[in-house]
Amino acid sequence: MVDVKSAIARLGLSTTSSRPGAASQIEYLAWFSFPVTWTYINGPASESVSEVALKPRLASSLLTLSAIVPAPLSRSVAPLEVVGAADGIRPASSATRWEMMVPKMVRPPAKSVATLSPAAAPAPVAPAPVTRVLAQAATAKLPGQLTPSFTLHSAEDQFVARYWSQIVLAAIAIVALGCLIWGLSGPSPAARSAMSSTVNTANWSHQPALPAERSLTLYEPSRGEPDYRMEFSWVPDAAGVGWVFRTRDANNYYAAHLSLQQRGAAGVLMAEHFSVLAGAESAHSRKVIPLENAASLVKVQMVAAGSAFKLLLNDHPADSWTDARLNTGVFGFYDDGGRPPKVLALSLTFTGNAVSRTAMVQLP
Amino acid sequence: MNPFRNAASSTAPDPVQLALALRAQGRPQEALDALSIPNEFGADAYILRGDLQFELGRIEQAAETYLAVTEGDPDHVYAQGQLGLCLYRLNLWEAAASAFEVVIQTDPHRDEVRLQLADCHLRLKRFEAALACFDECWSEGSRRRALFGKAVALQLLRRLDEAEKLYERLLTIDPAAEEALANLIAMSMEVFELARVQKYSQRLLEINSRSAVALKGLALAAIERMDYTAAARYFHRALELEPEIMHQPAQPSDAVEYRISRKIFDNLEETRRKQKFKTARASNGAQPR
Repeated sequence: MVDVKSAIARLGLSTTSSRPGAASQIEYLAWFSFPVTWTYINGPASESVSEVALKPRLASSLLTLSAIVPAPLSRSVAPLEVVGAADGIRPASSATRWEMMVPKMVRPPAKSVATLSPAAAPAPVAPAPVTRVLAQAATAKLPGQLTPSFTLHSAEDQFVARYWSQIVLAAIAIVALGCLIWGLSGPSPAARSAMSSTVNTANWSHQPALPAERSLTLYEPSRGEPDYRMEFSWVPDAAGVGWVFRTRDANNYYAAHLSLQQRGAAGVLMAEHFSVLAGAESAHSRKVIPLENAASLVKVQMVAAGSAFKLLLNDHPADSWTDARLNTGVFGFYDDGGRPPKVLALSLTFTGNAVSRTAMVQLP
Repeated sequence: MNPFRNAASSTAPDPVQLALALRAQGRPQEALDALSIPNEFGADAYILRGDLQFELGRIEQAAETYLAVTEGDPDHVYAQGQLGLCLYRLNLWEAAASAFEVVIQTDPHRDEVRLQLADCHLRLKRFEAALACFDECWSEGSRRRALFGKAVALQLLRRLDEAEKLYERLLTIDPAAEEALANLIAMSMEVFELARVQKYSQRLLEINSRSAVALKGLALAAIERMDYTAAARYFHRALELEPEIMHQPAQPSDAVEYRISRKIFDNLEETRRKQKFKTARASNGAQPR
């Protein structure tokens, strides 16, 4: 006889270790384990009907991650494990028998067609920065269920069925005409306000600053914002990247700077911050930060919240400090000597007015 | 004028086009190198970069790249899906589930993603959530896998009767679904119904003669009915296929476990020796006494 039948284990039931009395007296030499597994659900879809894989969207603009238009990417080299790709290959060994299945016609709630079909949406005129919209109402059910109709076509239905393409074209033409007329009449003040918050290509200003030879490139929409989180990607180089924040004017601002001090596998970054008040630059507070890979992009984030400032590099805290002398002011970049920093994908999240909003900012 | 743009870009070839061309030539590493230069790239370049890193097995880097895109555009379904896949491959189930959920919220018709999400829920021991995910699968392409997943979720919720029915239904559609039989064996072990263990193990062995699960099931059923001849045969075949059974599992797991004592093991060894002896004598033409 088997000494222990430990056919128990899961979900809080005791395993063999919970029987110390028996276990301590018996020497075991073999263990049969029967785990519950579910690799089948990740296997190839063996059904004949496959879902349509969603193609990746390509962005049409530089510097922003918005303004996406659909375009295929070449995937001919290696079979990429793409989400949504389902094949219809049936295993050769599968001697499938028939089973009567009632088709499940009720689909999950869907978003509106406009949001699902980028091709149907009007193409953006210009690459517009994205305003991050927090995903909410995840459980909201939209009336997107399809109900099959088994009634015979009426005469009207036949008309629609025959001329549906013309009807769609006519509808599109009417909508386009409406948009044109609406556009000529000018947007409402609310719409203008919305546009100004998203299309901000002309929102950068340049000005010389103290000390001499320094120039500031300021993102004007951030003027008046007390708190914000800034994020961009940066290719480490010796010249570095410098940015200003809480900038009251050319003589009063905070600044931070990152530069690559040592290349190679064990790269080293220098992070520094300082202030300029009444035109006088303070001593620089410096911190050396090891970098795992000096060749790759570094994600730079800085959070300004009240008098506290935090710098994060690749999501790891790198430095933090407090300074309460400037409470509000513009965010921007600075350069000493005309070498603009190489930064990518700048985004700013303003958090000071109860409502957080994020903008992908086009660089000047 | 944009002071941040690269002046050199006017003469050099477009890195994205170059990368695409290199990739099409089967040179993914060089394609990736083409995108690893200081430049101002858009989301398309990031996606391409992520795909190349994914292809090259640099899953962590790929995840970071896709993450950069999703941070800029949280509704970028492709990037979210790929990010989820990367995180899944990195065994970061919670984060992967979050990414997949974003995809599902944006496009609820993506059953492939729903299956991945359900998988994450199972690994996170959120069996009810997994069951709900499998229930929501609607497409023909996901039917069998959703059916199987539902059975697994029910099994892990200890709704064993319902689970067994679904496994059987799946086996009607796909008789080659070995894993369904293996899970049925585990389920039968859990309630220690040896007749079912025997039945499902036999069925599994008919599908796959090298199934260690089936051999273990048959071995233990034979041991329980003290048929050491059969038990020794199945045990040693299982041992050949899965030598690890002679080692105590290093990590505690939720798996049902059946342990064999030294006494039983010695019985099996003795039986095997006798079998070998008989076989040898029979092959030498000697008559047993």
